[in-house]
Amino acid sequence: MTTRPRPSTRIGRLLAEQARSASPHEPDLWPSIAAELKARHPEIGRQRRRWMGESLKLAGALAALLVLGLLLARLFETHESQPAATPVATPLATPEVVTDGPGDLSIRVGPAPAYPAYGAGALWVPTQGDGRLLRLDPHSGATLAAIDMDVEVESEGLYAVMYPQMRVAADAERVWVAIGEGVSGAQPRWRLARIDPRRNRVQRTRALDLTVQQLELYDGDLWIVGLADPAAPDAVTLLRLDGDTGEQVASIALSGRAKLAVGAEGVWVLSIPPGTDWAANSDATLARMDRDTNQLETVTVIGGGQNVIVGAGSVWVSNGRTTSVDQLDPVTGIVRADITTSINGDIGVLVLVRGDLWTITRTLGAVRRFDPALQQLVDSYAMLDVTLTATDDAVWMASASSNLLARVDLGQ
Amino acid sequence: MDEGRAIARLKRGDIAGLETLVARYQVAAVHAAYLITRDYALAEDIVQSAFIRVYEARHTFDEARPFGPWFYRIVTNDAARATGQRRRFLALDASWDGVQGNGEPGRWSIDPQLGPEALVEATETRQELWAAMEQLSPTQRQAIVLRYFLDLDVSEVAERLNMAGGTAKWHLHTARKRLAGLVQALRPGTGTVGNAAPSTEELALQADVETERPR
Repeated sequence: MTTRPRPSTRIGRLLAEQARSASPHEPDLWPSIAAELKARHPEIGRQRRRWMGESLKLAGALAALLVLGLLLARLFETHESQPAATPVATPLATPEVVTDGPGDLSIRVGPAPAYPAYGAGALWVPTQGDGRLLRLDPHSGATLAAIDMDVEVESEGLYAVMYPQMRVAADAERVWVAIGEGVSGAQPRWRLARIDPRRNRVQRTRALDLTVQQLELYDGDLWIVGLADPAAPDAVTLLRLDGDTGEQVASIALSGRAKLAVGAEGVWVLSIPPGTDWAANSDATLARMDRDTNQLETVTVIGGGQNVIVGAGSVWVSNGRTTSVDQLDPVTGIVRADITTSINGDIGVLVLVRGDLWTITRTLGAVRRFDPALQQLVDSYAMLDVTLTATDDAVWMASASSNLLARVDLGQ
Repeated sequence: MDEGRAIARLKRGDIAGLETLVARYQVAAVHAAYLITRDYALAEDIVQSAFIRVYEARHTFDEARPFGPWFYRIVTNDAARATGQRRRFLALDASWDGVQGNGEPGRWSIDPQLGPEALVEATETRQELWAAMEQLSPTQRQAIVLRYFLDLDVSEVAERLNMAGGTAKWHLHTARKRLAGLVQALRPGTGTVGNAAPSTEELALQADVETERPR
């Protein structure tokens, strides 16, 4: 039970009123305190794991099954929806609406928005051109906060997509940002920052010995794909970090380039062998991560495999050779369906939203939405240098060269 | 989980015990720190750091004593210290909220156009008190918060401030007198600002400030 002072004097009551009026929300310090303690005292996590092990033994097999069931339910729940975990804030300014933009709402934001992410009840958009992380209302796009990430800016337009200086990953509670400086040079310096989504500010940072290419957060783990040596682009490292503390859990060296997909279907890596053409000629290896042992188990090889995502009970691999997207069974690796996209170009990004496949073809400057069941193109949006993410009820596209965010409302 | 069990678990290094204490004391502690620092984010930082120190110094805590007053002492001490440092820094700036650069209270608290309605009266009085608190030293503010907001008696305030009882009484007395004088000076009915009679809110406040109620 929370203790709230009940001053017996008038002056005390006035002070209590003043304190209550200072913030519309009561403080919730525990997540920050727990994360800080775990970072300072690694034995805390071990103690809790040991305690959990003993409890499970005592509870017996039935309770273990129940816990497993609940955990699985939680996994699916977390994957499907992101509950609002953060307070409502006052918009910094009215969004600048662009009337002739794509989607059903287009708004102007800071320079070079790229690689947005959704989590902790907010849309997070790094504006690569001014080194800020915007926190936006996930429906209206109103800017609720702008966090200065203290980065010396060097990217804009297309370069903000090719050499982003900020990558953000978020889940229901956590927001992490990877920040790079000197990213187009020979010796980039990267660091990792955890954002406190309640207070909209950096909670802690740590240095990274890695050039970050991909950042994902799922089920309490933070995953990073990157290069240990920027001069060796065919030697990729996959890092697994604790999603609360940022401490390293595992480091896996991969040969060749890699794309990572995380979700309820597991953690998957699509590896392109060293020395092969990224676009279409690769024989890409699709592997599933055993999260207990941190070992990759090869499931299949896909000629022309370019990118991978997971969702809706399948693994999806874009194929540059056949200009299609293969839908695979996550257990057997067998192709369930082949969705023809007829895109004669590099399908750089794939996103699965409510069963629809969204593809970005960078060379064409187009975002396309397919219905994989009907094998039909549903919609197409012309945007240059675009990246996108999905919220609970919309898809948000960010154009780094137009400084635009565009929303496609998916309804409830 | 009751407080005794939470403390016992905390002393064994189990952070679940601390989680219970955080849930119980964070609101009062942040509000107390805010009343001293006048900076909500700083107040949250102070309380967060204090809880982390509690975990790290858990072996030194005497389980026979209540946790709350002990913790409030840590928090209000840190808040007073932080306020002292901040004041020295801000003195170089032109002004800070509610107070003009010359150290005089801002005009927002003495608007003579406001009507006599009770709600407005209460808000005015609160703002005046807030502006008057600004004029107190960090230690005097700490004493006022411990005594009136956290409702500790004088001997407890003395203990929390690590002072002899007489010294604490003197600090409280000085703070009360300054507060009463400042609130009076800020009212439109006094000094050169206006000539309205003291409001009921003001009279109640004066009564609080000028007398020690039986505990």
